[in-house]
Amino acid sequence: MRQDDWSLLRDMLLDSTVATVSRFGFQDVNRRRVDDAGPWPRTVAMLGFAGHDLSGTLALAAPAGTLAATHPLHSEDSDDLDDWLGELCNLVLGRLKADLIDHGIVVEIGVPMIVSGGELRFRNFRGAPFVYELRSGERWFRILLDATANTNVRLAPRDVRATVDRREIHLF
Amino acid sequence: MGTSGKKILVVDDSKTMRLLITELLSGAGYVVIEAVDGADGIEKLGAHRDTALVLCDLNMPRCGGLDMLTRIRANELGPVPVVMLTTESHFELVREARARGAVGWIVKPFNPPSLLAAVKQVAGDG
Repeated sequence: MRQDDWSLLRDMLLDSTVATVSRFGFQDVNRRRVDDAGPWPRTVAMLGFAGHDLSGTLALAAPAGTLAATHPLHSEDSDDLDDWLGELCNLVLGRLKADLIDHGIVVEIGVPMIVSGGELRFRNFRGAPFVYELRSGERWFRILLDATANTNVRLAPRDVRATVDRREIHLF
Repeated sequence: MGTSGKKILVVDDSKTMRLLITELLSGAGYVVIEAVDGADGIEKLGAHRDTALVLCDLNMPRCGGLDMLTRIRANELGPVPVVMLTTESHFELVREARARGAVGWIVKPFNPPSLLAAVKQVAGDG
Protein backbone atom coordinates (compact mmCIF):
# COMPACT_ATOMS: atom_id res chain seq x y z
CA MET A 1 0.00 0.00 0.00
CA ARG A 2 1.34 3.44 -0.89
CA GLN A 3 2.09 6.15 1.64
CA ASP A 4 -0.97 8.21 0.71
CA ASP A 5 -3.16 5.15 1.33
CA TRP A 6 -1.58 4.65 4.76
CA SER A 7 -2.31 8.32 5.47
CA LEU A 8 -5.91 7.81 4.39
CA LEU A 9 -6.16 4.72 6.61
CA ARG A 10 -4.81 6.75 9.54
CA ASP A 11 -7.39 9.49 8.91
CA MET A 12 -10.17 6.93 8.64
CA LEU A 13 -9.10 5.40 11.95
CA LEU A 14 -9.02 8.76 13.71
CA ASP A 15 -12.37 9.80 12.24
CA SER A 16 -13.89 6.48 13.27
CA THR A 17 -12.55 6.85 16.80
CA VAL A 18 -13.70 10.44 17.20
CA ALA A 19 -17.14 9.65 15.76
CA THR A 20 -17.50 6.72 18.16
CA VAL A 21 -16.37 8.36 21.39
CA SER A 22 -18.27 11.57 20.63
CA ARG A 23 -21.49 9.52 20.80
CA PHE A 24 -20.71 9.05 24.48
CA GLY A 25 -20.05 12.64 25.49
CA PHE A 26 -16.36 12.87 24.53
CA GLN A 27 -16.57 16.14 22.57
CA ASP A 28 -14.24 18.86 21.24
CA VAL A 29 -11.49 16.35 20.57
CA ASN A 30 -7.89 17.32 19.90
CA ARG A 31 -5.83 14.64 18.18
CA ARG A 32 -2.04 14.39 18.19
CA ARG A 33 0.51 11.78 17.26
CA VAL A 34 2.41 10.36 20.24
CA ASP A 35 5.37 8.12 20.90
CA ASP A 36 4.43 4.42 20.91
CA ALA A 37 7.03 3.54 23.52
CA GLY A 38 4.63 4.01 26.40
CA PRO A 39 4.04 3.30 29.12
CA TRP A 40 0.34 2.83 28.40
CA PRO A 41 -2.57 3.08 30.83
CA ARG A 42 -3.10 0.06 33.08
CA THR A 43 -5.78 -1.44 30.85
CA VAL A 44 -5.66 -1.84 27.08
CA ALA A 45 -8.24 -3.37 24.75
CA MET A 46 -6.82 -5.21 21.74
CA LEU A 47 -8.73 -6.40 18.72
CA GLY A 48 -7.34 -8.21 15.70
CA PHE A 49 -8.56 -8.01 12.13
CA ALA A 50 -7.54 -9.93 9.05
CA GLY A 51 -8.28 -9.97 5.37
CA HIS A 52 -6.68 -10.77 2.03
CA ASP A 53 -5.34 -7.24 1.57
CA LEU A 54 -4.95 -5.87 5.09
CA SER A 55 -4.51 -7.28 8.57
CA GLY A 56 -3.38 -6.08 11.95
CA THR A 57 -4.31 -5.14 15.49
CA LEU A 58 -6.11 -2.18 16.99
CA ALA A 59 -5.33 -1.20 20.59
CA LEU A 60 -7.34 1.30 22.59
CA ALA A 61 -6.63 2.56 26.08
CA ALA A 62 -7.86 5.24 28.43
CA PRO A 63 -7.57 6.05 32.13
CA ALA A 64 -10.44 4.98 34.37
CA GLY A 65 -11.74 8.55 34.65
CA THR A 66 -12.23 8.80 30.88
CA LEU A 67 -13.95 5.42 30.71
CA ALA A 68 -16.26 6.27 33.62
CA ALA A 69 -17.14 9.61 32.05
CA THR A 70 -18.13 7.95 28.75
CA HIS A 71 -19.73 4.78 30.16
CA PRO A 72 -23.36 4.72 28.99
CA LEU A 73 -24.61 3.70 32.44
CA HIS A 74 -22.07 5.87 34.31
CA SER A 75 -20.51 2.87 36.04
CA GLU A 76 -17.24 3.27 37.91
CA ASP A 77 -16.78 -0.45 38.58
CA SER A 78 -13.40 -1.60 37.21
CA ASP A 79 -14.81 -4.74 35.53
CA ASP A 80 -17.52 -2.64 33.89
CA LEU A 81 -14.92 -0.16 32.65
CA ASP A 82 -12.77 -2.98 31.22
CA ASP A 83 -15.82 -4.32 29.39
CA TRP A 84 -16.67 -0.85 28.15
CA LEU A 85 -13.14 -0.34 26.81
CA GLY A 86 -13.44 -3.60 24.88
CA GLU A 87 -16.80 -2.57 23.46
CA LEU A 88 -15.46 0.84 22.45
CA CYS A 89 -12.60 -0.89 20.64
CA ASN A 90 -15.17 -3.07 18.90
CA LEU A 91 -17.27 -0.04 17.92
CA VAL A 92 -14.25 1.83 16.54
CA LEU A 93 -13.03 -1.11 14.48
CA GLY A 94 -16.56 -1.91 13.28
CA ARG A 95 -16.89 1.61 11.96
CA LEU A 96 -13.42 1.51 10.40
CA LYS A 97 -14.25 -1.83 8.82
CA ALA A 98 -17.33 -0.32 7.17
CA ASP A 99 -15.21 2.52 5.76
CA LEU A 100 -12.66 0.02 4.51
CA ILE A 101 -15.36 -2.04 2.80
CA ASP A 102 -16.59 1.09 1.03
CA HIS A 103 -12.98 1.59 -0.11
CA GLY A 104 -12.72 -1.93 -1.50
CA ILE A 105 -11.02 -3.72 1.40
CA VAL A 106 -12.76 -6.44 3.38
CA VAL A 107 -11.45 -7.63 6.75
CA GLU A 108 -12.86 -9.90 9.41
CA ILE A 109 -12.90 -8.75 13.02
CA GLY A 110 -12.14 -10.88 16.08
CA VAL A 111 -13.37 -10.36 19.63
CA PRO A 112 -11.72 -7.84 21.97
CA MET A 113 -9.10 -8.93 24.48
CA ILE A 114 -8.41 -6.90 27.60
CA VAL A 115 -4.85 -6.68 28.91
CA SER A 116 -4.09 -5.20 32.34
CA GLY A 117 -0.78 -4.49 34.01
CA GLY A 118 1.72 -1.88 35.09
CA GLU A 119 4.16 -0.15 32.75
CA LEU A 120 2.54 -1.69 29.65
CA ARG A 121 4.56 -1.30 26.45
CA PHE A 122 4.16 -2.66 22.93
CA ARG A 123 6.98 -4.43 21.11
CA ASN A 124 7.62 -6.26 17.83
CA PHE A 125 5.24 -4.43 15.54
CA ARG A 126 4.26 -6.03 12.24
CA GLY A 127 4.28 -2.69 10.45
CA ALA A 128 4.84 0.97 11.28
CA PRO A 129 2.09 1.66 13.82
CA PHE A 130 0.00 4.80 14.10
CA VAL A 131 -0.28 5.92 17.71
CA TYR A 132 -2.51 8.86 18.53
CA GLU A 133 -3.87 10.52 21.61
CA LEU A 134 -7.36 12.00 21.54
CA ARG A 135 -7.85 14.57 24.23
CA SER A 136 -10.91 16.40 25.49
CA GLY A 137 -10.00 18.62 28.44
CA GLU A 138 -8.49 16.38 31.12
CA ARG A 139 -9.87 13.20 29.52
CA TRP A 140 -7.98 11.23 26.90
CA PHE A 141 -7.86 8.05 24.82
CA ARG A 142 -4.79 6.52 23.22
CA ILE A 143 -5.15 4.43 20.08
CA LEU A 144 -2.69 2.30 18.16
CA LEU A 145 -3.11 0.61 14.81
CA ASP A 146 -0.44 -1.83 13.70
CA ALA A 147 -1.14 -3.26 10.26
CA THR A 148 0.41 -4.80 7.18
CA ALA A 149 -1.00 -4.62 3.66
CA ASN A 150 -0.38 -6.13 0.27
CA THR A 151 1.97 -3.97 -1.73
CA ASN A 152 -0.43 -3.39 -4.61
CA VAL A 153 -3.63 -2.73 -2.68
CA ARG A 154 -5.18 0.74 -3.00
CA LEU A 155 -7.80 2.45 -0.86
CA ALA A 156 -10.25 3.73 -3.44
CA PRO A 157 -13.91 4.65 -2.83
CA ARG A 158 -16.29 2.16 -4.43
CA ASP A 159 -18.86 3.44 -6.90
CA VAL A 160 -21.61 1.57 -5.08
CA ARG A 161 -21.80 1.26 -1.29
CA ALA A 162 -21.29 -2.22 0.10
CA THR A 163 -22.50 -1.45 3.62
CA VAL A 164 -25.87 -0.65 5.13
CA ASP A 165 -26.61 2.83 6.50
CA ARG A 166 -25.51 2.61 10.15
CA ARG A 167 -28.04 5.26 11.20
CA GLU A 168 -31.06 3.24 10.13
CA ILE A 169 -32.91 0.28 11.56
CA HIS A 170 -33.20 -2.42 8.90
CA LEU A 171 -36.22 -4.69 9.32
CA PHE A 172 -36.73 -7.28 6.58
CA MET B 1 -48.13 -4.48 31.60
CA GLY B 2 -46.86 -1.78 29.25
CA THR B 3 -45.70 -4.10 26.53
CA SER B 4 -47.52 -7.18 27.79
CA GLY B 5 -44.45 -8.38 29.71
CA LYS B 6 -43.07 -10.23 26.72
CA LYS B 7 -39.67 -11.86 27.04
CA ILE B 8 -36.75 -10.52 25.02
CA LEU B 9 -33.49 -12.50 24.87
CA VAL B 10 -30.41 -10.26 24.59
CA VAL B 11 -27.28 -12.09 23.42
CA ASP B 12 -24.07 -10.08 23.62
CA ASP B 13 -20.62 -10.75 25.03
CA SER B 14 -20.39 -7.16 26.26
CA LYS B 15 -21.91 -6.72 29.72
CA THR B 16 -22.21 -3.00 29.04
CA MET B 17 -24.36 -3.60 25.97
CA ARG B 18 -26.52 -6.16 27.76
CA LEU B 19 -27.14 -3.81 30.68
CA LEU B 20 -27.83 -0.88 28.39
CA ILE B 21 -30.40 -2.83 26.39
CA THR B 22 -31.89 -4.39 29.52
CA GLU B 23 -32.40 -0.97 31.09
CA LEU B 24 -34.06 0.31 27.92
CA LEU B 25 -36.38 -2.67 27.42
CA SER B 26 -37.20 -3.24 31.09
CA GLY B 27 -38.26 0.38 31.31
CA ALA B 28 -40.72 -0.31 28.52
CA GLY B 29 -42.23 -3.29 30.35
CA TYR B 30 -40.37 -6.18 28.70
CA VAL B 31 -38.83 -9.04 30.64
CA VAL B 32 -35.21 -9.32 29.52
CA ILE B 33 -33.20 -12.54 29.54
CA GLU B 34 -29.44 -12.13 29.06
CA ALA B 35 -26.96 -14.47 27.39
CA VAL B 36 -23.21 -13.97 27.04
CA ASP B 37 -22.74 -15.72 23.68
CA GLY B 38 -24.57 -17.83 21.11
CA ALA B 39 -24.19 -21.10 23.02
CA ASP B 40 -25.60 -19.49 26.17
CA GLY B 41 -28.33 -17.95 24.01
CA ILE B 42 -29.43 -21.35 22.68
CA GLU B 43 -29.55 -22.67 26.23
CA LYS B 44 -31.57 -19.70 27.50
CA LEU B 45 -33.92 -19.90 24.53
CA GLY B 46 -34.55 -23.57 25.32
CA ALA B 47 -35.44 -22.60 28.89
CA HIS B 48 -37.66 -19.73 27.78
CA ARG B 49 -39.67 -21.07 24.85
CA ASP B 50 -42.10 -18.16 25.14
CA THR B 51 -39.42 -15.63 24.12
CA ALA B 52 -40.95 -13.03 21.81
CA LEU B 53 -37.74 -11.74 20.24
CA VAL B 54 -33.99 -12.32 20.23
CA LEU B 55 -31.54 -9.42 19.93
CA CYS B 56 -28.22 -10.96 18.96
CA ASP B 57 -24.66 -9.69 18.52
CA LEU B 58 -22.61 -11.11 15.66
CA ASN B 59 -18.99 -11.47 16.77
CA MET B 60 -18.85 -13.40 20.04
CA PRO B 61 -16.58 -16.06 21.55
CA ARG B 62 -17.60 -19.76 21.43
CA CYS B 63 -20.67 -19.27 19.23
CA GLY B 64 -21.29 -16.17 17.13
CA GLY B 65 -24.58 -14.70 15.99
CA LEU B 66 -24.78 -16.38 12.58
CA ASP B 67 -24.04 -19.79 14.09
CA MET B 68 -26.68 -19.14 16.73
CA LEU B 69 -29.22 -18.30 14.04
CA THR B 70 -28.51 -21.58 12.27
CA ARG B 71 -28.73 -23.54 15.51
CA ILE B 72 -32.04 -21.90 16.46
CA ARG B 73 -33.61 -23.05 13.21
CA ALA B 74 -31.91 -26.47 13.26
CA ASN B 75 -32.86 -27.15 16.88
CA GLU B 76 -36.50 -26.26 16.18
CA LEU B 77 -36.58 -23.70 18.95
CA GLY B 78 -39.57 -22.14 17.30
CA PRO B 79 -40.09 -19.33 14.85
CA VAL B 80 -38.79 -16.72 17.28
CA PRO B 81 -37.78 -13.56 15.40
CA VAL B 82 -34.09 -12.70 15.61
CA VAL B 83 -32.73 -9.18 15.07
CA MET B 84 -28.97 -8.79 14.72
CA LEU B 85 -27.44 -5.96 16.76
CA THR B 86 -23.81 -5.52 15.77
CA THR B 87 -21.00 -3.18 14.79
CA GLU B 88 -20.90 -4.92 11.39
CA SER B 89 -22.56 -3.35 8.36
CA HIS B 90 -21.32 -5.33 5.34
CA PHE B 91 -24.13 -6.13 2.89
CA GLU B 92 -22.81 -9.68 2.53
CA LEU B 93 -23.22 -10.33 6.25
CA VAL B 94 -26.69 -8.76 6.25
CA ARG B 95 -27.71 -10.98 3.34
CA GLU B 96 -26.23 -14.03 5.08
CA ALA B 97 -28.12 -13.30 8.30
CA ARG B 98 -31.36 -12.76 6.39
CA ALA B 99 -30.83 -16.04 4.53
CA ARG B 100 -30.42 -17.79 7.88
CA GLY B 101 -33.68 -16.34 9.17
CA ALA B 102 -32.89 -12.99 10.79
CA VAL B 103 -35.70 -10.45 10.55
CA GLY B 104 -33.66 -7.31 11.16
CA TRP B 105 -30.24 -5.69 11.36
CA ILE B 106 -29.24 -2.82 13.62
CA VAL B 107 -25.76 -1.28 13.63
CA LYS B 108 -24.19 -0.28 16.96
CA PRO B 109 -23.96 2.18 18.56
CA PHE B 110 -27.75 2.30 18.44
CA ASN B 111 -30.17 5.12 19.07
CA PRO B 112 -32.24 3.95 22.10
CA PRO B 113 -35.66 5.24 20.92
CA SER B 114 -35.10 3.70 17.48
CA LEU B 115 -34.10 0.37 19.00
CA LEU B 116 -37.16 0.36 21.25
CA ALA B 117 -39.42 1.20 18.31
CA ALA B 118 -37.93 -1.67 16.30
CA VAL B 119 -38.36 -4.10 19.21
CA LYS B 120 -42.00 -3.06 19.62
CA GLN B 121 -42.62 -3.49 15.91
CA VAL B 122 -41.07 -6.94 15.69
CA ALA B 123 -42.60 -8.09 19.00
CA GLY B 124 -46.03 -6.99 17.81
CA ASP B 125 -46.35 -4.10 20.22
CA GLY B 126 -45.82 -1.33 17.68
